[in-house]
Parts: sequence; C-alpha cells; structure tokens
Amino acid sequence: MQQDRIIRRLLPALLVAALFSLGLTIGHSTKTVAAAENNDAPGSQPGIHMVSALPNGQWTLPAGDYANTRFSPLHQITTENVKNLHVVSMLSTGIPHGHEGQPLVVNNTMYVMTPFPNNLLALDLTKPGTPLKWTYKPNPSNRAVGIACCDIVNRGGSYADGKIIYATLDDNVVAVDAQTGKEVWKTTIGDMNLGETTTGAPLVVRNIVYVGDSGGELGVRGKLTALDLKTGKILWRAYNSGPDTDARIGPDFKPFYKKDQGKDLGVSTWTPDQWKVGGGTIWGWISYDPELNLIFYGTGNPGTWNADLRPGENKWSITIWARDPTTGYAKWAYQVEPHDAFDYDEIMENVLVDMDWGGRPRKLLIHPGRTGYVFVLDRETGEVLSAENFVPVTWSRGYDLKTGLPNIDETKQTHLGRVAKGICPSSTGGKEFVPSSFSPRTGMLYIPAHNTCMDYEGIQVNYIAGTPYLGASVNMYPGPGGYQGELIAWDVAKAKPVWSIKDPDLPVYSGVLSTGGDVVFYGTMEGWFRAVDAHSGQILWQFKTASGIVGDPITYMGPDGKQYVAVYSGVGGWMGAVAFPSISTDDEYAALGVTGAMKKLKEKSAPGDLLYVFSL
Amino acid sequence: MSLASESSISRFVAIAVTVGGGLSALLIAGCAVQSGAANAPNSSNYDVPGTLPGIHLVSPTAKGEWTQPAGDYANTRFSQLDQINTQNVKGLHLVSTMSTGIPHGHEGQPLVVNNTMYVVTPFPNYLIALDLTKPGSPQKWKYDPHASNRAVGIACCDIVNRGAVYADGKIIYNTLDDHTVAVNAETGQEVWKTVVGNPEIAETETMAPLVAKDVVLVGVSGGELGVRGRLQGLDLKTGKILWRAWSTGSDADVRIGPDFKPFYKKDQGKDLGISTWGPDQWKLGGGTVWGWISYDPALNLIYYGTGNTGPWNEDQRPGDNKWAISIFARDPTTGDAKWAFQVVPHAGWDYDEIMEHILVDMEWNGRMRKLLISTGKTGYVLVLDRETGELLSAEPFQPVTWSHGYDLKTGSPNIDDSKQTHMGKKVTGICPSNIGAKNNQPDAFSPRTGLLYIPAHNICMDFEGTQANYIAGTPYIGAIVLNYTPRGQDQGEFVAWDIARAKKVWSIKEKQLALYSGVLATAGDVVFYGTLDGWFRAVDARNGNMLWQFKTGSGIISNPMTYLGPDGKQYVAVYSGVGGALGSIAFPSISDDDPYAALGAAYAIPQIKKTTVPGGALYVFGF
Repeated sequence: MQQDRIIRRLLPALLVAALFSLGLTIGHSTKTVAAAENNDAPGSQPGIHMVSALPNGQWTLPAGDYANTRFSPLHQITTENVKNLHVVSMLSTGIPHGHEGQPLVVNNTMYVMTPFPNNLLALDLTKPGTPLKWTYKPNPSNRAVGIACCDIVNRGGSYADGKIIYATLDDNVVAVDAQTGKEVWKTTIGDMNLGETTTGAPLVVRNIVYVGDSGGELGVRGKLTALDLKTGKILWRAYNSGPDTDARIGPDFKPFYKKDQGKDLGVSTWTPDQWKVGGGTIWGWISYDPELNLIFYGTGNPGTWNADLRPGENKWSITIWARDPTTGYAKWAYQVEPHDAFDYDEIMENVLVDMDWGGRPRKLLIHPGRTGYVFVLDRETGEVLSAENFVPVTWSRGYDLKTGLPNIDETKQTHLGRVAKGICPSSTGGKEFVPSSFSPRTGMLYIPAHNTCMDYEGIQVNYIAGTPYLGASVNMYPGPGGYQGELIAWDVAKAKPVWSIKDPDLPVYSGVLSTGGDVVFYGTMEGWFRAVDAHSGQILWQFKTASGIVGDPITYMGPDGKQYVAVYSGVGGWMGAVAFPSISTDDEYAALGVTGAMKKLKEKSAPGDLLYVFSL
Repeated sequence: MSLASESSISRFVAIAVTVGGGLSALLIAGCAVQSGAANAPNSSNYDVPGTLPGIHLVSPTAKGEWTQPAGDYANTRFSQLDQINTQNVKGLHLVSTMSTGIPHGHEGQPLVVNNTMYVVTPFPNYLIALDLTKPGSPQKWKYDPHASNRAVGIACCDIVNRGAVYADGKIIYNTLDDHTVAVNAETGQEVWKTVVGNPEIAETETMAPLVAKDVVLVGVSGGELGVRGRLQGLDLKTGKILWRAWSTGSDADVRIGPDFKPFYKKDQGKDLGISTWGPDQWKLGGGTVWGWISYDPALNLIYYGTGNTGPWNEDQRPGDNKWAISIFARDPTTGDAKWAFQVVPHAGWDYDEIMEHILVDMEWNGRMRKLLISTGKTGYVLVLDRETGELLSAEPFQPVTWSHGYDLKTGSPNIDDSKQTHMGKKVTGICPSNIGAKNNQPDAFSPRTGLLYIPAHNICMDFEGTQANYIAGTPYIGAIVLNYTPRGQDQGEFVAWDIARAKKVWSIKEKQLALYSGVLATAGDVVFYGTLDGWFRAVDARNGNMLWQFKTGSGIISNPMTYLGPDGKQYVAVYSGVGGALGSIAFPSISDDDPYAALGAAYAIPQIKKTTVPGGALYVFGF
C-alpha cells in the first residue's frame, strides 16, 4: 500500500527525470540542475537535486547545510533500529531558559552556545562522557536581558576558518578559536540603547559573516550586517527600511512583482519617519546558493503592531530577500504581506532545492511561514509558484500568483481601538522560527506547526528608545479542531500535506531533522523527543527529556564511527516562556498574548537546560 | 506506613524462638526487648537473603517503595531489590528525566509511594508529584509553598533541600524559610504548615524530617550565623510543635532529665549546655541539626548529631561547648535525652557531626551488640553502642592530623595541640578541613557484605581564628580558612569499610574532585554513587569493580534511591545538579580568583569549574 502510494507520487518525477536524462529539457535550468547533482544523497527522488553540500559526519552550519534542508545523509540509524536509541551523554548549561538552536560538531568536538550569558562550551567527543575542553565566556552585558522580547535565547553559530562564530544577546558577534577557546575577534553590531538584541545564528559564506538583529517589538530598524571573517570588521549593512541606498538596492535589483518595484519604497511606503522605527528585523535563518551565489533571508514584522500607526505597505518588512553575498546588493525582494496587521514575521528558514515544478526543473525556495502558507518561489527570480496553507488560515483567502498578493479578508484586518476576532494563525504563526526539514528521499518538508488563533486590538503606542513599542492587545487560543500542535509532512511538489502528528495541548515548537535512514526527529514542548518514519509518520521511538524541547536536533558521526543524534531540552522562547515561574497564567495577555493558548505548559514542562546525545 | 514496633518485635521474638530453636536465642532476644540490656538478638525479621552471619537489620529496609529519606529508619540506604545485579547492570539505560528549572545544588533524594514519585526542589522548594504509571511519568501536581526570598540570603551553603518523608498519607518536608509542610500525597493540597524557625535570626531549614511514633522530627540550619541548634517534635496529624530539644542551654532546654545516662564522665553533669561556655555565648553557639535522623523501633530511640560550635573562632568560646558536635539518643515521644556523646569538645575546626547514624546489630568482640555507626567530618568511623553511648571503636577513614585517635576509656580524642586553632594564629596542615573527611552526603551499609560505603574527601586546611561580632541574621564565622588537597594526593575516595574489622577493604579514588554524593547499596550487590563531574556509577559491592557509568548533565551531590515501577521492574533514580557547600564553587557567582570563597573551600577544588556546570534534573535508570 505504502509503496504504491510512493510510486504513484514518484511517477511524474520519474517521467521528468527520464526526459531529463535524454537531454530533452532545455534552457539554463538544465545546466544548473545538473551541476547540483554533485550534492545529491543516495536514494534522492528523481528530479530532486540538492543545492549545497550536505552535512556528512560533522555539523558546521546552523542548518547543517547552506540550503537549510536540515537533512543528513547519515543512515546508521534506520526505521528498523531506531527503537534501540538510548541517551549516551548529557550536559547541563545551568541556565534554565529557552534552549533554541543547535550545537555544532567539528573535528570530534561539540560546541554548545548557551542562552544568555551566551557561553560557548567545547566538548571532547573522543573521551568518555565527552568532558569539557574549555568554556569561552563573552561576559555580555546584563542590559540585554531587560530588552530581549522573548526570553534570552540564542539560535547557534557557524564554524568557518578554524573559528566558531556566534552572536551574543548584547549585540556582539564573536569569533572564537575552535581549538583553544580564545577569542579571535569581537565586533559590536548593534545598540542596546535602541532596544537591539541579537539572537539569530550567523551564517558564513566564504570570507563573510552574515548576522541579523532582533527587537521588532521595540522599534528596532532591521538590518543585515556583513563582517569580514578574518578580522570581524563590518563590511556593509543592508537595512530593511529606508532609502534604496540603505537597503542596498541598486541597478541589479529585479523584483518579480510590480508591487515590489519602484524607487525608495522603504521610505515611500511609510508615513514620514515611521520607517526609522519600522521593525523588519532579521532573527531567523539565512540560506546560500553557491551556484547562483545568492544569500536568502526573510525579515520580521513591521513596528508597531498597531497597523493604523503606519499606513502604507511598510517595505521591506515581512519580505524575502535575495542578495549578492559579496556586495550585499539585492537581486530581488518579495514582500510576503504588505502592511502587516498581525505581527507575521517571515524570518523563517528558506529551504533551497532544485525540483521539477510544473513539468520542468526549477530552482526553488521553500518558505513555510507565520502566515500559515508554504510559499514556493523561484529563487532566481522571486516569482511565487505556489502558496498553499498548511494550517487553518482566516486572515486571507490564498494568494494571487499573478500579483504576488494575498487576498486579505478585511473583516480580520486589525485596527486601532477595534477587537478583530478569530484571526488565524495568531501572531506566533502557523509556525515559528523553529526550522522545518526537507528530505530529498521523500520530497517532503517536515513542518513544526501550531494551530493557534487570536483576537487582536490595535492600541496607541509611543516610542521611547529602548522600551517596548508594541501597540496591540493580543489574546491567543487554540484554533479550529482544538488541537494546538502538529508535525506536518508536506509534499512540496503537490503542495499538500501527506500525514501529520497532532499534539492536542501544545504547539510543536522544535526544529526538525531528517536523515538518510528515513528517520525524522523532532521534539514536543512537553519534552518528548521523537523519531518518526519519514514516509508514514509512524512514531518509531520517543524519549521523555527533562524539559520542553525548543531546540533543533542534529546528527553526526562520533570518533567511534557511530551515528549520534543531539538535541537541547530547555523550554522557553516566546511561547515556551509561559513555563517560567515569572509568567503568571492568570494573565492571558502575558508573554505578548500567548499565555491564553499555553495554559497547559506550566503543568507539562518545567524550565530546563540540558543537551542530550543519543545513539544505538 | 507507620511501623507498629512493639507488635513486630514480639512477633520477632516468637520467630526467633522457632527458628533459633534454642534457649539462648530466647534469652538473648527476650533480654533485648524487655530489659534493653547490652545483648542484641541473634536474628531479625528484617534480615534479607544473603545477610552475613552475625549481622541483623534493625528496621525494614526499602523494597518496592522509598518512603523515608534513607529508605529505612536505620539509615542503611540498603534496598532489598535485586533485579539489577552485577551481571546485568551494564545494560542500564536512562529511561526518564525531569528538569526542576533550578540550577542549584540538588541534594537529598526523591520518594516513591503508591506509584508516585515525589521530588522536593531546592528553594523555592516545590513539591512535584510524578505519575509513574504513565509514559514519561508526567506531573500529577505541583505544590508551591511560596517560600520567602528572605531565606536565600541567609543560607550558608546554597539553597539546598535534603528531601521529604512520607507518613500517614502525607508528604512532609521543610522549606528554606523555616516552615515544615505536610501535603496530601494524593491531591497535593496542604494539610498543615508550621513555622519552625525565624529567618530574622538566620535560621533556615535544609534537612529532611523523619517521622517516628507519629512525631515529625525537624532540625535547623545556620551554624555559621549564630543560630542556636535544636530538634523539634511536631504532631504528625496537626503539625503542632510538641517539644523542643535545644543543643545548648540549661538541661531543661536540652530536655535532659532523670533518664539521661551519658556513658562518659565528660558528658555527665548539670547544665553543661551553659557551664561549658563563656557567659551567654551558648545562646549563639551553633550545634544545629541539618543532617539525618535515625530511629530504632525496638529501643524506641531516635539518634541524630549536632553541628559545629559557633563562632568558628574557638577563643571566643572557652569550654567544651556542649552540646555542639554531639550525638544524641532521645525518646521520640517526649524528646527526652537518653544519652549523649560529644564527639569533639571545644572544636576549632568547624567539624559538624550531623551525619547519618547507621543502626545495625552486629557481633562485636564476640557478642551481639546494638551498634550506631557514624562517619563524620572528623575523619573517623565511630562505632558506638547505641543503647549506652559507649564508644567501641574510632578508626580514621581519611588522613587525620587534628588528633591521634580516641581514648575509648574516656571517649575523648587525643587532640594534637599543634593543630588547635586560635585567634590571630594561622595553623597549617589541619586534616580533614572544615568540609570534613565526608560531608552530609550519606553512606550506605550492605548486610550482605558487612561493608559501609563512604563518600569521602581528602582535603586539609589552614585556619586562622578572627574576631567575630554578632549581628542577628548575618554571618558569624570568625575564621579565615583555606582548603586544599595535599600535593600529589587524590581528593576524592569512595571507601568500602569493613565495620567488624574497622578498616578499609577497597576504595575508588577521584584524582581532582571530592566524592560528594550519597550512596545506595542493593541486594543485587550493586552499589550506586555519583561524582562531582556528573558520572553516575554502579560498582560491585564486594570488590569495587566499576560495572557501569553514565555521564549526567551536572555534578551529582544527591543520594541515589531505587524502587519498583508499576511494571514490576526495578529503577534507580538520582538528581544531577551540582551545588551545596563544596559544589557551589561551580556557580558563576563564585569567583575562581578568590581562594577563600565558599567558606574557604574554593581553593581546594579549582577543577570543578572546568569539569561541571550547574544543573537541576532527575534521572531515572532502568532496563
């Protein structure tokens, strides 16, 4: 039965692959797709090609690869033997706060970046119990704790050129010698006095470090900063609002849609000066396509949440960018939602894959976002090829692929002094920043999703530098069907779900890992770490970790030649912060409105601070 | 689960007659019960399979549940469970974990009653009930005593809690801010809550209560802040305080009456709790009770020890300073003392004697005796006759320089005067240090091997008395102390001690870190303990062979326990979360630049910051 289904699903792809091999496909796609084959994993479905080298034994980048697939070809752990998985090693960080992100594994050393105070711990994987080699302490300023909107999280780092590079909450990027733990350089990239913090994981491409910023709830003006890998010197900045020069928009800028074309839209789509406190921060994930030589990333919500205070489309908030990694100049941009009125950040991962689409191979960018849609874009041009919802959506009724615009439901549009009810998804989105994973062996995207809706009222807000600049009263609650979380296996080619695992009480708020063994790993906010069959969604194994999981699993080869899987267990972040003693469940509006939806978290998970390592 | 001691004893007499079959058995057993004479019985209905000849257990040892801090009244920390044995322990795996979210010292141990596990966290001292019948053992409820933050600033040595006791359908434990709470074990509702101390004069509560004869026994902490030590008896039903027995002051305050028969002359006399001090100094004299309490149902006596004298500067308190550093035997119902034995008179080294007292009946010099075994900070294994308080043996289990053994005739140590500390004089090379040859982390005793398993440290110190001035609610220490392990020596040692022969049989050394976890012995002849760098270990009870180990997330300073799950399988549980007096050096707030930090312990253990990180999780292991 299952095999039949798979073959049926594969048929179109098989046909295209056959044509392709006969040399019948034409155009530049052929050339580029063929080149990408070098990265393919065994068992990849015909017509699917990987864009960048997959992690094979190590884990040196936040997502394991440039393309953000979070797919590892390692296959010692299979659907057959995963039931024998055991915890083999653990490490506390001593910081019972949200443990987002993932460790790195390089040269038989594991690197753990903790929540604030953002210590970097190096563990020697060659020794029993993986003892600490060293701890690097950046000693960040406490000032950052008070201005971080959603817990004191950190989403990890990158390894490059013998250095571990990550960002600290107090707006520094540090490069630490991976061998010795000595600081190589440290660069200040933001200003806490303006409410800026840094939580995203930097990505390194060749000799440049890319890092965004956080603080969309405090009137921060979002930007991407590029630093020299050797020295930490700032090379350029690309802002998400303001004139074209600030946004690094030049003659090469070719947005696909008319709505994104024009001069200085980062100024003209705002009322005067509002763009200076307009949000559009970059606190999620960055992707890179080595062949097109483009980086891709999304921008966060416009500020304030009260949309009436900022008439206009508010570019370039909630936008996906393609940029030249060397110059920072934009190749294209696609604003996912103009004039957002729901706090829909679109800083989520952009998964890059070459696939057959509409009968021909195309270079795709797949973006499952807070809006509740899976967007499939042509990453060469920024054209939207598909936008189908993966969770219940009420704020709009689909996308017009001709204009690139959502068909917004005006009754759900939020305004100052008016409570708009039944908006789905809520501000926390159909999914959060916690990243999905794509397996070329199944053609499926595994999406950690939530089914949360909200009532939303815009309120007056005044800007005071370095303080919350929110402007909305938000109350969240479980969406239609009453369940809260869902791991969704999404068939990218068919743009629809294949299977899902629902969580009745809590959102799925962990990243996902898929592997060459066809085992998909993810965690629940209650603390279950699960292995499921990539094809069928059958739960093959689970282990109850000590706290809710909001981290992203990784896998690597140990020095003993065995495959290991690692994940953090430590609830926190925006939705997870409800587990903290400092957040009262009596206040439904607490934690930026999520408390109403998260009442069960307190009884299901205590804060924690652990790294778990599993193996057979 | 209250023990009907009298009826079980009379039943045991009958069994002794039947089984022993001889007149002598009847006579001996009868003697023990009726007259309380020195002879102990030949067998016990608490004995477990494989118990060595000549060894008898005093109270029922833990089996499927774990209802008392030590698992039993006698503080053996021996479990009858034997599914996990020396052959199969290598197959042990982590089956469940739970965070407390409090990265501080996790001392003590959980309880298991009626397929529910009860975890008491460090401050703010939540009580968490976990349903063992469900996958992942989810939380049933969480009780929050809303402990006052005031307590955090006055706790000397981290914000630890050493566990709870189950009795009469209630989980009973102490909060750091000086309350004893009784919580309905089913519902999590508070049954009663009693104020047992005053944070304004720096009293805190860290110890695990014991329940004997429907009396809840509660001590006090704060010996470094001029607290006057005491034990209190609370009514199990209502929480009402029934009696207080102070560790200093008049005989009336100490509950010394006509029944008081200390074995040694040095402990005899009227109002010694006043006359052995400078005027009024006894009011701030320490002798706190922050460790473990034992109970002998047959003798109907509780046993516990008292802490250091205060302040540490001994020149401020001339005299023997009774009843600091003393072992007491008391009637649990009245609190009245039966005997006392001061382990060290006028101590100048901060040697608390609040450690566990293991009760066992054993052959000693050819005849059965009722023993009390105490392994203390002093570095000695003290063996006493628990009926009389007579010291039968005192042999060092770690290097000792402060004294040259004990005079068993007088019950006094032969103190080395060159190691006696004084104000303004730096005395070097005192062993053990104020952290002791072992700390509050309890030993285990196996009746199958006759061995005591001691988590020990080899740490010495330099000590200089300084003037201490009393301000209520603030530190009242009076010494500059530097701890260290002598160059070239190992710091930690897991010691297997043959009680009958009073000597070490084997040991496992830890090069750089003290052994600072409790111990569990089992009928599977597997002994469990943890290390300060987070290894949880299973060793062969007979030869010390390391059979299995698992690296937990943080250093282990708690006490392993074992129980039967609802599936009939044996599990072992332990906390991982470094802290406490010695382990708090791992905290970011303790600087490694200051060798005198953490009451002088920091210098001894620089390695701790490099090898472990604070944490706070429960680990459950099984097959």
